[in-house]
Amino acid sequence: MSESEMAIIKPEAMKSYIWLQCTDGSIQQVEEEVAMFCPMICREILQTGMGSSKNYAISLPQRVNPAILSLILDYCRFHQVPGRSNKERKSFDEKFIRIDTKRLCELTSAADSLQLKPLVDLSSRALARMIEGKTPEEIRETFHLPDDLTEEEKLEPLKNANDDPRIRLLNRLYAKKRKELEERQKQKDGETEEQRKDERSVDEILSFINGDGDSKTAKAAKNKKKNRRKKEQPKDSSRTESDKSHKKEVSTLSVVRNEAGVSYSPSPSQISEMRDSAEDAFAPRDFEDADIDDELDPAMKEELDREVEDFARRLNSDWPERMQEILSLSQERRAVPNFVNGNGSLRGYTGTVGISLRQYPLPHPPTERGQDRTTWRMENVIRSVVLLSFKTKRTIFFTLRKHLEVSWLIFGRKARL
Amino acid sequence: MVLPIRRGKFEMEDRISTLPSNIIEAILLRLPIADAVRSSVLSSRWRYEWSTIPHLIFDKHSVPLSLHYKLDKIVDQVLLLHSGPIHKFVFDGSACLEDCSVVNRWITVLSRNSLKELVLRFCPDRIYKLPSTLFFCKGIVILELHDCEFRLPRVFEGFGSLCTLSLENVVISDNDFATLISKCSLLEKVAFMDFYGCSRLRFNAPNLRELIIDGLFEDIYLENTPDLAILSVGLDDADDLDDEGDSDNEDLENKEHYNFMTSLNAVPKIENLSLRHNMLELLAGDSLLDRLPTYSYLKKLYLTCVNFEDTKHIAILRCLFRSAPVLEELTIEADSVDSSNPAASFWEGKECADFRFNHLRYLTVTEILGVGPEMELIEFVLANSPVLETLFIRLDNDVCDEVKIYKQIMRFRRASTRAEIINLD
Repeated sequence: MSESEMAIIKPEAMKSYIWLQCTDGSIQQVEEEVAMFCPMICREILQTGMGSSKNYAISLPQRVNPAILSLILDYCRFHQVPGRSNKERKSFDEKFIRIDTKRLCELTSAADSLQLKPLVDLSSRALARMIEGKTPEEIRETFHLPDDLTEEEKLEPLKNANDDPRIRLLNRLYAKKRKELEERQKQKDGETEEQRKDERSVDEILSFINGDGDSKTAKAAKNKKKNRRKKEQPKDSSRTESDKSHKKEVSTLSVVRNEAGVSYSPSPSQISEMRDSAEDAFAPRDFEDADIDDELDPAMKEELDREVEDFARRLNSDWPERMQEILSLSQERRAVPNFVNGNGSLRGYTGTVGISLRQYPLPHPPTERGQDRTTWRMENVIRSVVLLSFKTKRTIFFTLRKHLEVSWLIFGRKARL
Repeated sequence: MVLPIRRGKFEMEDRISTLPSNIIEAILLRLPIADAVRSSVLSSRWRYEWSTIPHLIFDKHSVPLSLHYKLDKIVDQVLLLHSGPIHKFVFDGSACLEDCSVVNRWITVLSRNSLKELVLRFCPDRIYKLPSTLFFCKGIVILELHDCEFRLPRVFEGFGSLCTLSLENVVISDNDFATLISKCSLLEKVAFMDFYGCSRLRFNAPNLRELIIDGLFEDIYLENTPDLAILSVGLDDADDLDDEGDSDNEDLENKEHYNFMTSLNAVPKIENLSLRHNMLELLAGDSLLDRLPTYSYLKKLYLTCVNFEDTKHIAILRCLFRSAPVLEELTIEADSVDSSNPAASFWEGKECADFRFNHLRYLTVTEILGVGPEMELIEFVLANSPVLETLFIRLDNDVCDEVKIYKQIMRFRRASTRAEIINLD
């Protein structure tokens, strides 16, 4: 073996190098002790005797590219020195692992193919830390994962997660409520129109709330599918569709309120629908799909549960009835406001929320700050809705009037004032 | 595996999903179980990756507190959707579990899935009756049970691969315990703390290397533990109920301790010996102490509740020092109170010491009160340990004249030039 002969005659000052070749053909030379730190290379050298010269370079597995190889060799170079303390090694590892996710994945893959177990452990720990505690959207964003699961597939693992009986009950209630509301609205057609403004704004808030319940952006995709199907149905009755849709939202909310403590329906994102020129009506079937709170992660669902409870508690018992009145008033006039498409944020919306809160007594007394009751109530309503919007990353528009200053509050992922 | 080609700066590739399954599994294993299960909604590649992870850990750290109230339902669902072997199962039901019988279901499932490590913990007030299916989990290697009640099936073949057994706050009978230990022939480490229902412990474990016992017992009999290296025994204070029986049982005590003494004779390879709480009291009643064998491997000795005012305790100390010629580390926690056998000096009746501390490197004496025997021992050690490196001392809180004691200790001659005296605070 030329390698061993060389080892005998070489002067001490001369280092021996190992030649490594990546799949793309590039050849790199590296000090022997650094390369031997790597079990696969070590084995190659000992078993086949390759690597001693440029012509006999050790060919590395496919997953190792030159950039990652130099990174790995840095790692080996540091750790193969025996004298380092554990603290030094740990701090080196911490700094070493601070690379972008793409390279981290490549590094893990390459380390695995080279069987460098400590590096595999280190990088998989780093990847786990990146995943831990994040919502699925965040994780998808970090790692650029394709969102290619259908709704059913997403629900499948979680469907059994915790709330089967509640889901079934909820579905039944939704269906019942919807039927009731439809009947009542048919009866109450043509009542006073004084609160037209109110209705629309209430619709808005309901729709946003319902839309906000959607924690998975992909739900929009599914609902878009359904919406498109509905679109093919009579387009001229789009208005009635949207009316119906609003009603359904109301029913959703009312049922939600009745079922305080259950996370409410993440019906299809109203925003996306309205973006589609406001002609889509979300499928009422959505309620029945038993998907109501299944898309939500269990953890997120908990938070949303709480938020909804908060919010629902603030609405009193005749809220559904009131809503029906309000809605039925403007059945004809309910032109969906013209929305400008804007990447999920609605601009130029002129709806107002004029919820007169006097009739919604809240269970808790005002705080010690001595606020007037209405203000306090309003604050709480807004607070819960804002929290909802933050959680679900949707945009909500508010106008406060009467006792409070008229002001636009815009919340959401892209907050602009 | 072909690396995906970068199509351009703005179109990022999904690199993590192209990692091989074993790496994805390694990543999922490092996540708390909630996050690991939630990864199933990330993308189609990740849909079922979590269902084959071999470790299922449901304890306070892995499951967010908000979900603890339905931990049992969560475990049910996870077990239902999981596929493949489960090697490690940890469940901490101390937060909430009202009805422990759901755990029976899980153990049945786990016993079919080549379980290797099982950790169960429940409420201390609600003892969980272990189902018999647990005793048929053949492959268990590590078993840790808290707040359980043992009832071995009549035909118990033992856990053939069990290496580590840790029981805390358990109810088990003498016979059951003896059977359990003897049928697990590979047992290497046993920790047995806060036990009820057994008082005479017998250990027939030829591979046992580490034994920790902490509880109320009458006797310990190490009948077959030749390789025991670490022995740590602590005898709890008897409850008030036993006070009346103390004087009656003196003869009985002697007979019982016979077994422990025999046990001490049977562990020649011991390296680390700890006698805590009332163990010295237990040994004090024994006249056979003089016949302690010489432990040629004993390097660390840890004694607590040593009453320097009691002749018997001092006698025990002398016996132990005599049997440990290669002792390197000695730790004594004093607990000197007035006793019925007051000791005037450490060297009662002996002209010179019959032991040496030739290898002693670290001596720690805490809760020093400054009584005669304490000071004499410290003096002796300082003067006779040529390789002593550090003497750690701490005075008891009740000492009135600390400076006097420090002055006394400062005066002592030191055989080791490297010795330093450090005051622990």
